[in-house]
Amino acid sequence: MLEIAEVHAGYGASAVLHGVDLAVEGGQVMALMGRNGMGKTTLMRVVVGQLPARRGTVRFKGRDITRTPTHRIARAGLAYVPQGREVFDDFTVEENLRLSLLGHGRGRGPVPARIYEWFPILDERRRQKAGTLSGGQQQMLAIGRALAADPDLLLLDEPTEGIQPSIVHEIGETLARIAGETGLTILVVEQNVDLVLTVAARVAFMDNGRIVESCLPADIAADEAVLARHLSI
Amino acid sequence: MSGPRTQAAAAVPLPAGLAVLAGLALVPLAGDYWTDQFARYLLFGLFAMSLSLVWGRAGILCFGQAMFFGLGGYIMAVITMGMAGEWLASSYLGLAVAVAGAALFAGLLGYFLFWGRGLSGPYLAIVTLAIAFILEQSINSWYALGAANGLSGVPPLDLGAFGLSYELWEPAPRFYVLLGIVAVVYVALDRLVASPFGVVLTAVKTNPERAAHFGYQVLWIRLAAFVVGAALAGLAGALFVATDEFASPTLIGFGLSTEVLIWVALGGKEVVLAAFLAAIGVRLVEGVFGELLGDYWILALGLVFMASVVLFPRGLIATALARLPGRRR
Amino acid sequence: MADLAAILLNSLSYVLVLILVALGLVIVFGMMGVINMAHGELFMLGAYTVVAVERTGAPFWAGVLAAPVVVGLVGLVIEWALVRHIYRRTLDTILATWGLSIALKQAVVLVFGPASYSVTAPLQASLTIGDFVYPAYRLLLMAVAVALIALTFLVFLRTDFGLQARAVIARPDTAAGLGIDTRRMYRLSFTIGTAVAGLAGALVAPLISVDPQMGLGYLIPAFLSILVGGAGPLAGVLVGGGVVGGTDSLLTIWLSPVVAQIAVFALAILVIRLRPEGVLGSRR
Repeated sequence: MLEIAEVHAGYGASAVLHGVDLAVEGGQVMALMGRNGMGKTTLMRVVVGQLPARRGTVRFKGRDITRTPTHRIARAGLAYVPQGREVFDDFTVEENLRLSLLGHGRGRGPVPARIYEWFPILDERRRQKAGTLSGGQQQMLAIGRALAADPDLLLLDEPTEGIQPSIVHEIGETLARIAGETGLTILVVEQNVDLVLTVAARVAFMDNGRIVESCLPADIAADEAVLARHLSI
Repeated sequence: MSGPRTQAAAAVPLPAGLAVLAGLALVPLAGDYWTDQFARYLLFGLFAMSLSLVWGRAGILCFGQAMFFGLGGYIMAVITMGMAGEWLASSYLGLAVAVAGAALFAGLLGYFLFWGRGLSGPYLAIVTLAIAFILEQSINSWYALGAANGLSGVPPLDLGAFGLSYELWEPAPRFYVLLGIVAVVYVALDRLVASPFGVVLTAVKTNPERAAHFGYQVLWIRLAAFVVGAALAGLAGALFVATDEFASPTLIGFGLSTEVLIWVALGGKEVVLAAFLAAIGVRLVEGVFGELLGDYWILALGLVFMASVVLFPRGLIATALARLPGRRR
Repeated sequence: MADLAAILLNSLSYVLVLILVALGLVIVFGMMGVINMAHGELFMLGAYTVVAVERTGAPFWAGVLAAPVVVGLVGLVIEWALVRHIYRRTLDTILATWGLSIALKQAVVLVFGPASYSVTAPLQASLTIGDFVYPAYRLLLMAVAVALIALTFLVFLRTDFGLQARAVIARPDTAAGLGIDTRRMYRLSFTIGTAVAGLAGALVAPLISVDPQMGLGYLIPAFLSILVGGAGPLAGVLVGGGVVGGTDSLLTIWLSPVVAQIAVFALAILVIRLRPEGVLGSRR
């Protein structure tokens, strides 16, 4: 589904990604872990086209999207929930969701019912301004918004940042449920072990702009050293 | 990583500027007409240097720099024509009051603009645009100052003192006096830019919040640069009316404010020498081809200006100067 | 009493035109971070379109219909040739569009000459209610202006296009991530903004003297209205336009137009300095 090969990228004079190789298979949920500053968000931004890759390729569903503009990548079925959620505070929940449909040219249809099934709180607060929702609710809105246009691949950047543990768990369960029901492919950047263990089928670790290890969640649960290697300071 | 110190030091080294000035010293060989023309070009160059300081080095995009030029000019005219009293009619006094007047006006205006959470960037540009507009409209209706017709018969510069008189109306001596003044200003500006104040100025321009955190008084630093720039512009204006023997609203107006902006942007606002050269260059080209191109000149200038902003944001001449071998970048 | 009504109506018509001009400006700024100093010249081009159309013998209204089309096309070319290279480089946009305004002004001088033109109003009739006499064309102008402003608000706040446009203004990267073509949005918004300015210029043409310098006299008050109004992107323009335009018109009762304009600019600058967030607040 998603193939990242030899990607180099950076900001200005500095280089952040030094040859990233990563493959996510269709239907799989993969977690990308690593300490802050290792390039995880940079990689996300390169994949969705917000940052140009200096070298290497990104292929989505077999097509090369390395130089494709962001909105075309989105329309091809790649949905992105950025770090910090980025909901439109002044728009209602419903308007936020509709924007996704409009962006994909499906403005005439209603918001799919499953979005409200997965996130009932969004149904309750349909007409509320997104800025008035709590952090966890905003995260659900951001995810729901990304899913509204029925994507093939969902990219999530630190969805649990700044959210209380109970909501984190709820989100994790919902994501697992969605993946199970629809076969959605998910790549989630996350530091929260709880979520990773709930949702992921594979875990990759990033260090200094490269993928350095890859394993199963079971391996993490079984052996603390794995995490210690990559997450501690 | 390019920080304030390297930016300040990356200005064109003094020898290049002095070479240019030495080259200009040869102009009188080309005859009286060109000597007179270049005398005016020199003053426009001085004017451009003032904007380069204010805009390029202090980051204050002022759409009305000509207000200081014109103010200096009118003050010089009023004083040397004896309109403020015959006993005050002296070139030296005129120059002093012109410079002081421009500086004072800039001080008050600058304080108003920069105080508190001062205006910056685009908002400052728009407000200075409005102020320039106001001033031009005002002068055009001010009958005591000749309104739209201006004041003619401004006496030429008089170098004499204590009863002696040496009027500068011959092209060559006048040119050299002006060249001398411009040379002094250029060297002083160059030193200023390379000095600790120049470094602080660049810091304030690039990141005012951070500079404030370090304890720098952003308001006073900006104000200082603004006032010095205004003083230089006023000096240029005062010298100009004495050379032209005429003070008119065009000197304070919109057109000239726009022109100097174009010169400095075309040349390179951050490099004083580039701004100076651009002013002379554009005026020279206009002098030579202006008759030929007629109304198309302004159109061409506008188009070149647009292209330069998009393609050479650092200025045509500055970009070229930076490519010279041996330049530290 | 009749005089007062006339003054108020004149004031209102000026305010409405100012708001139209400012709307185009603020949409372009909010959307692309572009400060279009040539906006006044686009307004001017609209007026000159009417002049050109009238010269061919066609009626005034043909000119009014042609103006937004012509100026919109010019806007499209400008967006493609110049503006799209300088998105978000706000200070550079000021300079580049200033150069554009010089070029446009001079182009008009080259084609039409520097002197001013007058355009005859299509309706010479006046509305008479007792003592009160008022030119019918002005009333028509106001009606059209109100309709246009209302239409702009409607499109912006109630349509899907408007929703997408506001999303792009608020968070352009996120909007792109949702599949919205931001480039197309920019192009459309710029074109619409310029077309509205052109239409405003065409409508106003019979009431003022049409000359190459007329743009600046509307550009500066439009800018000041935006800064004075605050908030936005749209509501502030209404308030700012009302305050700036209204004050100008009121002052012309006692002062000459030149002095009144000077006074208004000075007052606007004072307000901007003393209350940077604008009347409605939360500007910066």
